[in-house]
Amino acid sequence: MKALELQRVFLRRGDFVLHHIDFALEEGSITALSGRSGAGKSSLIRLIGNALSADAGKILYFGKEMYEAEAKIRRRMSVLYDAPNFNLEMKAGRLAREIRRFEPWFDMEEFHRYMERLELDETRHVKQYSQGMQKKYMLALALCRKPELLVMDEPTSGTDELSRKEMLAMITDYRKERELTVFFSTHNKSDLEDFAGQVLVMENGGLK
Amino acid sequence: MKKFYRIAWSIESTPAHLAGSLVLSFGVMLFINGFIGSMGGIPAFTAFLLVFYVQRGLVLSGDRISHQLAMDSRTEIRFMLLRYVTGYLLIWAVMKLVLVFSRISGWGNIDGMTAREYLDHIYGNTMLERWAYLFAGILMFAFILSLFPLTVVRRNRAWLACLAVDGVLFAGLCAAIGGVSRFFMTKELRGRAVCVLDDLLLCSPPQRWQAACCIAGALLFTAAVLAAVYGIACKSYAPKPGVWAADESRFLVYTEEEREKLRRRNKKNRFLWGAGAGVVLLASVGILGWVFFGKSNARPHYHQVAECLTEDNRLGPMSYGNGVYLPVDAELDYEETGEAAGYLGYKGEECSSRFYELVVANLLYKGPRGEETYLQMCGADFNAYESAEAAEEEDAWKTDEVFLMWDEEWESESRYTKEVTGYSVCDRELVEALEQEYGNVRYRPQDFTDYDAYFTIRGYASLKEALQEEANHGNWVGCILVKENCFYYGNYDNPITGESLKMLMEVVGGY
Repeated sequence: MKALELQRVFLRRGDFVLHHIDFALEEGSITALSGRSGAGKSSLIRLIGNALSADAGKILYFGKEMYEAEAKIRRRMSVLYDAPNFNLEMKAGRLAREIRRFEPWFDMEEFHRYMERLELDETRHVKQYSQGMQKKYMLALALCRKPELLVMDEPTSGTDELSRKEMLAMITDYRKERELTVFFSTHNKSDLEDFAGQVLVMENGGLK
Repeated sequence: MKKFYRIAWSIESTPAHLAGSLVLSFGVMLFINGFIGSMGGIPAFTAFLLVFYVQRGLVLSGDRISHQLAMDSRTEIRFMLLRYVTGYLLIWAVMKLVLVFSRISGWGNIDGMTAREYLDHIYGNTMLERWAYLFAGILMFAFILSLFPLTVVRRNRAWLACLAVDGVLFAGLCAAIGGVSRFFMTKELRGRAVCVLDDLLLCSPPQRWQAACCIAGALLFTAAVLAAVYGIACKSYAPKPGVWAADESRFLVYTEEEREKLRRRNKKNRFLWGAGAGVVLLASVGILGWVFFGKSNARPHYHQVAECLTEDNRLGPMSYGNGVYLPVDAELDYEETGEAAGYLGYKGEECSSRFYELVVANLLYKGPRGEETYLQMCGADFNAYESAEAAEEEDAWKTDEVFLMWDEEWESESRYTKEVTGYSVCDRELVEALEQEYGNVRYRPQDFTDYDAYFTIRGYASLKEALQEEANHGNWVGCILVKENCFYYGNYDNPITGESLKMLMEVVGGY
């Protein structure tokens, strides 16, 4: 079973294009997306997160398109964009509790453990976190949703080496308990070497 | 809904989005004022601006957290719709209250109105007015509701199509309501209506059930609008099935030559957008210039300048300026030759409402050169008045044969029944005794503020003339004020005592 499959996806916005995006991720795999700035990595992540609509092509999540089983697909997938996309005015713990109201399966105990492990203060407002801390916090939220597919846009950018290793270790630990397919973009060579099972390289809006 | 917005608070706030929201809200305000009427331009503008700016900003921000929660787009649309509706109504109501308080707190309260008076001024104080305001309010709500898809539709062409279709549909609906309403109003009133609310106010007063049916119809229409906008928004917002590219070469990376072509096209587009913005800017400047410096072709706006002093609107005195005026039979053409001073309101009548202005509008006219000995009231009712001082000097009653004393609550035969009630025949002796004792009475408006009972005495050539079908004022003799079981002739300096009181008691009976 494929966790994520993109079939001949095309997108054009002005003079920027994504073209011939065609790949599939096996369940349980870890795939990195690499490429120069402006190659189209973030746009591809936004397409997968359904924040952008492709002009052509199909994106299948666990064999289905988003319109076929919207809630179920979102239940099984967590997306980390390059910047936080939630209310930064809220306190970290409060935001987690609010998400739990929507998704009762959100694991609060796990959340507390992650916060402790990442040395993040739950009582602080998210906007008071540094960029790296916000990335760690986003990852904690994403994993507590118990996803089967984790899509991340440069998750380790802006983090120190120790935090980067801690974040990757958190994902590895999670994968020991549950099957998780990971797809992430990165500029970091160490991420590719330490973590990725396979690497896709983007150039000029297409896969190399 | 609340928790959804608490976590998803990330909106796109670009200058273009802000400018677009401002222009659209201004258009919405103009539409409501021009087609529906009197629903509060500033509250409608503010409420729509805030709700649209936030809601649309949320949608434009794209990668919002709601995309990561396990909910489908229909659920999200329901949250958004609820937020849009409650947000608009709440802000609109708050702004309305703010306006009321601003008016009554002093700096806008030129007429010294209380909160209740101000609300009556806005929404009228009769059922006829209030049902019309309620209907117009529901129509405004339906219009705002119909604009909801504009917050979620992302494609420019679809967005403009939604706006155009919605505007045309609602303008057509308002015109249709106006067309139907005109069947229920007199010919003279037809030209006065400029919006739906005017049309409804000018209609013949509907029966209670008719008004209820109209309001139920408006509510049903609103429910239909709700269903339609929900459907459109869901369709536009939901993820679409993927399609295969018909021509993949369209998406190939551009060569340098193609990039140059694209740059030229972008330059052309930028020029066109700039020209469009320039036209909008010029139009805005033109509108502002017209608003501030243009000649007004609107009808002059009047305030109340005179008021009847008693409940007897037909025969009782009225106060204008510092003087008291008495109704007389006089052929005046001041409506054509004189100048309007303002409205003459009956005792306690609200003259500042739109309803009064449209339907009643009893204007008081002075003479051709501002003469104020005679005045004429023209509007829904007609009457002529003469200054009390002049009438007292004339003593026209001396040639009369019959004298009637009218209770202020006498009922006009034309309004209720052929049986005229509320008057007593006076002896000539009583009239002469009162006139001999008090002579020319000086009438003062303040004496009419707290009496317990009031009577007008008028003289006629015969009883037949007094009670004829057409209204006949006869000649003014005087009036009697009653306060704490004491009788006064014209003012409180003239208590009626002795023989005169005895004769008066025989006329009124009892006591």
